[in-house]
Amino acid sequence: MQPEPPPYDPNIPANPSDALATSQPQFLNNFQKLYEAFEVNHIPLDALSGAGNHTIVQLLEQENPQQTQFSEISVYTKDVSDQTDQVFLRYQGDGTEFQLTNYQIYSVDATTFFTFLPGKIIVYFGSFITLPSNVLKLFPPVAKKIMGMTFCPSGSTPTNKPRINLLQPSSGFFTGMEVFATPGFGRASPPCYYTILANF
Amino acid sequence: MTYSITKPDAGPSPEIDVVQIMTNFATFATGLSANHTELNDPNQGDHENVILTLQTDDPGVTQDLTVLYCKNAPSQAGTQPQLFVQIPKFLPTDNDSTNAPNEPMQLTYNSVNIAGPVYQSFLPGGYLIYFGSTTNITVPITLSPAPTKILVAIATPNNLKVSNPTPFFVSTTILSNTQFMINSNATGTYSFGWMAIASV
Repeated sequence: MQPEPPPYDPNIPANPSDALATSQPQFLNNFQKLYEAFEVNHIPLDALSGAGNHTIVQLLEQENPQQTQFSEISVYTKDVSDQTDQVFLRYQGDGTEFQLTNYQIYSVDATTFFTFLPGKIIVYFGSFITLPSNVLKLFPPVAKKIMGMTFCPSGSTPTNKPRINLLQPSSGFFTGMEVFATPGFGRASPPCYYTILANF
Repeated sequence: MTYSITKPDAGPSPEIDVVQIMTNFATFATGLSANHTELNDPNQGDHENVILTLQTDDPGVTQDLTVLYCKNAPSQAGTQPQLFVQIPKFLPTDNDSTNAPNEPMQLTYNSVNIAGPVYQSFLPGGYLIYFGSTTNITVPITLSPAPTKILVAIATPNNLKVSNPTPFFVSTTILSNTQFMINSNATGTYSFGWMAIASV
């Protein structure tokens, strides 16, 4: 088993009178450590061009909001309740902290989508032709507060004005809403496009 | 001369490798100054910008390391580098039982339009949002830049009927990947606000 190489040592050569034969391994080790550390997320120091530019940016989970001086903003990650890490931004002078990423976006189905806006806002959007039991379900079911809804009938004949009845929250989360057609429209729910903004 | 992790040689005097040692220190300082505040500055090591070089594959997420990176993404405008984020997987949870794969999320697109009349921006997940208003619904709304597919097209009347002050009926019809039509019983002078979300 190979012994662990010594760590980076900022205090070499240890003695001003050391012969290079003594401090040479220390120099080599420090140059190696600097090279390896710098190579993480960066184009390496001996690259023909672009040394120091980033390849990727890995952000290690932070326990607390990062401090910022004036003329600085900070981008970092922090653990979020019921999730893992999300990306945050904090404005200058220990200013307001915003959550920039908010969820793991995934494909629900061919007509049901969601995305997010900074600040823990989720945007549900999609379309439906018919709704089982007139209920439009929200995926993911994590909306704590419905902030806005827009429904627009789809199709070439504009003869409907949908009526919306928000279902009572379940365990603190809104799971969906009933959508009814104009009386006399001839069907229970009208085909619609919709967007719903919610806080979660 | 480039950065070397094999120098200095062992010997009685540093003189034989002094140039290489200086080169290593200089190369490190130069490399660090790319994207970072340079050495000997009070803010040394802080990021000043982050230039991300194009990645061919998703880096993936390990441990608590959220990753930001640049990768080519296809769209109707061609294949271009975009900013992606990948966060540690957290699904399923007690609230969201979806065991969704931890797909990377596209955060950016290569254009916005704040000049109008077809305003446009982008949403996380590879979506474009368009919005505007029209006073002539006989002309279809044409989205530019062209998306791959319109997912949602919503219109709302901005004024009421004059004779009977109730909202106009309205519906929308998606005609193609770039156009949708607003349908209404509106007559006389009117305007409609509209919004569409599409995949890039």
